[in-house]
Amino acid sequence: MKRRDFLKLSAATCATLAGMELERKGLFSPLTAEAAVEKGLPGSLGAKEITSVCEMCFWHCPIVGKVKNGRLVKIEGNPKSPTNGHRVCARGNSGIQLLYDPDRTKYPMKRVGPRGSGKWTKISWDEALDEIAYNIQKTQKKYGPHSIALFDHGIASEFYKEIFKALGTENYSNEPCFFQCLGAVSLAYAVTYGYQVKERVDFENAKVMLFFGTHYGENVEVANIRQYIKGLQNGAKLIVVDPRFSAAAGKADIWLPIRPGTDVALLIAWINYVIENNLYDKDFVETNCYGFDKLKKAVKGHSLEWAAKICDLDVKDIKRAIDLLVANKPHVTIHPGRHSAWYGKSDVHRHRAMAILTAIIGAVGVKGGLYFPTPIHIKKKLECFECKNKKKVKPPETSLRDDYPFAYFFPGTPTDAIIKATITGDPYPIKLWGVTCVNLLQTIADPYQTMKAIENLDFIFASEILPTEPAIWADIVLPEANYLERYDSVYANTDLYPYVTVRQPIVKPMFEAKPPYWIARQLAKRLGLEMFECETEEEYLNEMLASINLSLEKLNKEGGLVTFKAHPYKDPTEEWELNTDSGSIQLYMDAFEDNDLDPVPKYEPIPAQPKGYARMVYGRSPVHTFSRTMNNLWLHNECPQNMLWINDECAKKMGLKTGDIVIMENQDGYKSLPIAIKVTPGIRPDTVYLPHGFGSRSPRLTKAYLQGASDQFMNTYYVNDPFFGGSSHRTNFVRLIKDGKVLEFPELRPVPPEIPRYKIQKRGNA
Amino acid sequence: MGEHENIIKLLDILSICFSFPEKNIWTDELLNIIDIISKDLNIKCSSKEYRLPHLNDLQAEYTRLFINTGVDKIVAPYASVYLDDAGLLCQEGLEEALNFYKRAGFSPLPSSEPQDHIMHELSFLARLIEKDNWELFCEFLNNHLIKWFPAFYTRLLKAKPIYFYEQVAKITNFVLSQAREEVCQ
Repeated sequence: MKRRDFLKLSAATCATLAGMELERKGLFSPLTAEAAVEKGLPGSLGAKEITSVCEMCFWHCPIVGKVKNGRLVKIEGNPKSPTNGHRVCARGNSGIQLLYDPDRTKYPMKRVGPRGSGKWTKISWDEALDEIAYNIQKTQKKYGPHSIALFDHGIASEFYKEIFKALGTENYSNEPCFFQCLGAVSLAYAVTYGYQVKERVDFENAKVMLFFGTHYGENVEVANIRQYIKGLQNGAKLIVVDPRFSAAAGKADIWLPIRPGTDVALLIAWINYVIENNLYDKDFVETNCYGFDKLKKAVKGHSLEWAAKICDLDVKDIKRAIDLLVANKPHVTIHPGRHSAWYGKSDVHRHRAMAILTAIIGAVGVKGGLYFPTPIHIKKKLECFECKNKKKVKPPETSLRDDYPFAYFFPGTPTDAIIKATITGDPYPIKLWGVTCVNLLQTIADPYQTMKAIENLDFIFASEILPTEPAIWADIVLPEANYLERYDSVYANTDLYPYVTVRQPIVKPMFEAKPPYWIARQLAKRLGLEMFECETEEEYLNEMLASINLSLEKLNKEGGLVTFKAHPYKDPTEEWELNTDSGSIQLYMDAFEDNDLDPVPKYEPIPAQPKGYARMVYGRSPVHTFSRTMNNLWLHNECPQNMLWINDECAKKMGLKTGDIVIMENQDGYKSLPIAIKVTPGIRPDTVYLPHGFGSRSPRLTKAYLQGASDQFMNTYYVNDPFFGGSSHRTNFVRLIKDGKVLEFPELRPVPPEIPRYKIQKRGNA
Repeated sequence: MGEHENIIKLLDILSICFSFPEKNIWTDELLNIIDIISKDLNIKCSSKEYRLPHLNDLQAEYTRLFINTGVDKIVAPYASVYLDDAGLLCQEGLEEALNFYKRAGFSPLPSSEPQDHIMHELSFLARLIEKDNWELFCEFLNNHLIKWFPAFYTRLLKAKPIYFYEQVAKITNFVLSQAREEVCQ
C-alpha cells in the first residue's frame, strides 16, 4: 500500500464536505450474531428443504425448494407426491430463473410518460394503492358501478376478484382462461356429465386413446405425461386427429390429418356409425343416458363417406379408427381436450360430440375411460374473505352477458364483450381495468382491438411478476411476489392419486414485491371494504386445513403433502345420479334447444382459406407456458424463438426451405415479426402451425423481446361462440412475404363446394 | 479516522447517490457537492449540464437506469448480475459480498435491495476506512468490486444518463481507480 490519502481534493471542496451533514450514514451494523454464510457442501447438498407448489404452468406440481443462505439453489419435485414424485419438468426446474431475473418487477411504479411509452418512476406502496383506490372510486362514481373490470387468471387473482365482486361490478373474473381457452370443453362436459371432467382420463388402463388436437409431449404436465406414457407402454393404441404431425401423432397407430374446422363432421359420422351398426353400449345408454333416440335421429345419414369428403381423409382410415375404438370399449379414452376456443361457432358442439361418443360406448367411470373426481371436502367459503359491507348494486339494464345464454356457467363476463364495451361505451361505459397475472395482448383475440380499448380507459393498473405487455400499458404497476415467495391456497388434487398440499414461501419476497393477499387486503381497506380479516395467509390456510383435520404445521410434518384414497370409478350397471338437467348423461340438451341452439352437435361448415392463404393453427412449445416463460433464460436457451411449420410440397412450389426468414401477412393485412420456417411433410398443405407465446412486444423483457412471431398478433378475425361468448383463435389465414415479395400458398388439397371460402373484407386496415 | 473523513464522506455521498432519491434523504446540497467534486476532479461529462434537476426527474431517471431493465440497457447495480454467467440476481456475487461484510465484522442493515448493490459496496468501503482495515479494503476492491464495477460503469454510460448520474458514475470510477492505483497496488 502506498498512501491512504489517495484522493486529493481542493481545500474548498474539503471545507464543503466537512460542513455537510448526511441524512443517511452507512448501511451496516456491527456483526452481532453468527452471520448466515455457510461454507461446506457444494451445490444443493445440505440445503434447507421447503415444500410448496409449482406455478411455472397451471398444473401445480408439488415441489421442494432447496435453500442455502436464504437463496434458492434448486427445485425438485416433492418425493411424497404420488403424481410427479421427485420429478419436475424443464419449466419447473427453471423457477429459479424467474425468481432471480433482473427484469422482474421490483417496486410499485407509476407511469410518467404517455401510456405505452414505458416511462416510469418508482413510487411507494401507499401512493400506488391510494391512487388505485382513488381511481376506482372516482370511476364508479362518475360512470356507474359496472364501469370497472378485472381481467384475471389463476389462484393469485382470487383476492382481487373478491374486491371487484364486493364493489358490485358484473365485470370481475373475466378469465381469459375460459373465454379464450377452455370454455367450450368445460361447458360441453359440464352439461353432459354434470362435473368438470377436465383431463380426468384413465390413460394407464386405456386400451385405445383418441386425441383431437391434444399434443402431449409438446403440451407437458408431468403427471399426465407419465400416465399417458405408461398407457402406451401397457400397449394402448393411439389415434390422433390433427392437421399436424404432432409429438403425439408421432406415437400414433393412426394419424388422421383432418382438414381444420371439420372435426364435428368426423365425430357425428362416427356417432352415427356406432349407432347404425349397433356398436354402442345399449345397457349403459339405457341406464345412464338421456335423449338417445333424439341423438340417433339427429345424426342419421351422416356417413363415413360424407365425413371423409368434408374432412379430406381416407374413408378406410376413419373406419379403421372407429372400429379400433369400439372394439376395445369401454376401456378407451377420448381425451376431452383443453384449449378449445378454435372456431367460435362449433366449439361446444365438437366437445359435446366427443363427450357423447364417450358416453354411448360406455367409456365413463370405468378403467381406461373418463373417471370421476374424488371429493376432498376442504372448507372454501371462509368468513375472512367475505365482505361485510358489500355494495348493493343493481344489475345493469343490459348486461354484457345477455347475448350468451350459457355465459352464466362461468363466474365472469366474456372478455370480448368487455373490450367492445370499453371501446364503444355500449351498453354502458367501462373506464377502468385491473389486470392480474394475464397477458392481455398475447392471450385475447385481436390485440389491436385490445390496445384500442386500453387507449379509451381513464385508468388501468396491473399486478405483475414480470414487465409483460400489460405492465407496459398500465398507469400503475404493482410488483407481485412470485410463487416461490408467497402463500396462496390449499391445493387438493382430486384425480386418480388424490392429495392435499399447500403453496408456501420458499424465500422472502425480493425488493418490495408483495403477496397478492397483502395487496388485496391493503386495497380493500382503502376502498372502505370490510373484508380479508385474517392478518396473515397462515390464518386462512389453517382454517381451510382444519376442515380436513390438518394444519400447516401438521402438513409440513408430513412432508408438505398428504394422500387420500381414490374413488374414480362407478358401477355402470347402476343408475347414476348426476348433476345434469336430467340426472343422467345428456346426449340431448333441451336447455340448448330452449335457447335456439342445437340440442345435439351439428356440423356447420367453417369457412376455408381464401385462395393463396393457409389457415394458421398454433400449439405449445414443450419448454414454455403461454407467453409467460419466454424471458426465462434456461427456457429461452432451450427454445428462444418459434418456427413456422409449412408443408414441404407447398414450400417447394413457393421456393422456400427450412431456415428461410419470412413475414406472415394475415387476411386483414396485419404483418408478423420475421419468423424462420420449418419445412415438413408433417402438416397439411392448407395449414401452417406456429408454437404460441413468442414475439413479445415488451422491451423490458430483455430476453424475449421480439423473439419469434406471435400467433395472437395474427389473430385479428374471430367469431364469438354463441353459447358463452368465447373468441375463436383458428379463424385466421396467412400468406408469406419473403424479401419483400408476396408468396401465395398453392392449393394442393381442393376445397369441396360444401365448404364456403372466407371472404377477405378488411384488407388494408392494418 | 479523522484524516480520512473526507474520503469516507465522499464514499457515503456516492452510496446515497446510487440509492433511490427519496425525499427524506435527498437534498440540493448533494447535487451541489457532486458538482463541486466533479469540477475539482476535472470530470468531463458528455450529457447536457443542468443545475438542480427536479426530484421527480431524478426519480424517473433513477428508475429508468437502475430499476427497470430494457433491451437497450441492463444497468443492474448488483455485483451478482455481472459475476454470474447467466446474469442473475443473488448468485455468487452476493455471497462474495456478504462474506466480505462478515469478515469485516459487519451485518448489512435490512434493505429492500440485494446487498451486493453498488450503494452497499461503496458504503462498505467507507466502513473499512473508518475501521482502518486497509488490507480488507484492498482485498474487497481488487477481488470483488473491481471485478464487476467496470462492466457496470460501461453499461451505465452507454445508457446515456442525465448529467447528474454521469457525474456520479465518473466520480465513482475515478475514486475507485485512484484507490487501486494509490493504495492497493
